[in-house]
Amino acid sequence: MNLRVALAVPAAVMFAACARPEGPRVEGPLAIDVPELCTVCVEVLRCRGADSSVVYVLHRKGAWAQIATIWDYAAGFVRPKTEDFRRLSTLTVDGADAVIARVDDERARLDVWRRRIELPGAMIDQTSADWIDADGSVRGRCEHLERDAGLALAARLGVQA
Amino acid sequence: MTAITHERFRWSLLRDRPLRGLGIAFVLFLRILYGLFYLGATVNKFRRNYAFSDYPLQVFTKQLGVIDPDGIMAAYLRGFLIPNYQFVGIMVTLIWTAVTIGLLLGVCTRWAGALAVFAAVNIGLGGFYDASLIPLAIIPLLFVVLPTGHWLGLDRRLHERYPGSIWFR
Repeated sequence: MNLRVALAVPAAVMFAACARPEGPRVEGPLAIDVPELCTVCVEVLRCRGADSSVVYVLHRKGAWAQIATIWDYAAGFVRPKTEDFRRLSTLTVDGADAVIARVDDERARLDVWRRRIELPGAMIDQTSADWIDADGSVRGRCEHLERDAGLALAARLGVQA
Repeated sequence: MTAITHERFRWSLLRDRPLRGLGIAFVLFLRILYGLFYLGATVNKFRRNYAFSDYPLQVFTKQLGVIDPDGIMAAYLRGFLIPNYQFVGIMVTLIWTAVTIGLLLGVCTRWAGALAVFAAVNIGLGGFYDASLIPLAIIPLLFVVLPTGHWLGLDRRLHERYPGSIWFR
């Protein structure tokens, strides 16, 4: 492979990766404001519907994932960040916050461009705080707990975030 | 006074003394990469009018809400950064600009590296600490310790002209 090709291919890939996202970004104010660049933040979201209540815990990132965000910052000078992923614990709770079911090691996707949080089987609209089913129907509403209250609830539910 | 300069980087060094050549090339690659990183950050600072707006205040206040309120970082934010956000905004813009110029042009390179370490420590103290700051603080130490501005940059020529100056060593 000659040198020009060797340089041109990665350059083309990098430029392709720098293409601007489609459509305008949904602007705030946000009812559920999850900072996509904060790698040490633990986010606790409490969602309540007519027949269920779920606490979602978005974990802080691991050390290597934190280091990898250097790229996010560098790339962000050219192309804004459009998505991020967080490790997720999903806890179905009853009215007294007793855990009925718990699933760990899933992933939440922060859709920074459309301002929504995609969860397994559900989605949260960050502008309206609507808790939306996979079929698009509104299941209920979500609340973003303050830092201390969120950490306390996560600890009470036995989640090491 | 006679100037003692370090060798200049040449591509032929990779052939003649491959280990040394690769080492120097790698450190220079890091310096340029780091300089470009700071260039992006500096452009961002000017775009946001970081020096002459209340944007730093917004950033610091928001960060205060997501960190441990009893920790040293919160104390630094509350006690120094937030009350002095205008001064901090100007200093950050100047320091980022200096690091960018220093590392990309290889001028006052050791000082630019020292400023970059100082910046990384302050970013951490300002409540933005995560593991990504560890390489961001360690890498510029290389530019403090090693004569990278003599390998590639203006320091070599300036040191020859001003051998007594501490700025171009």
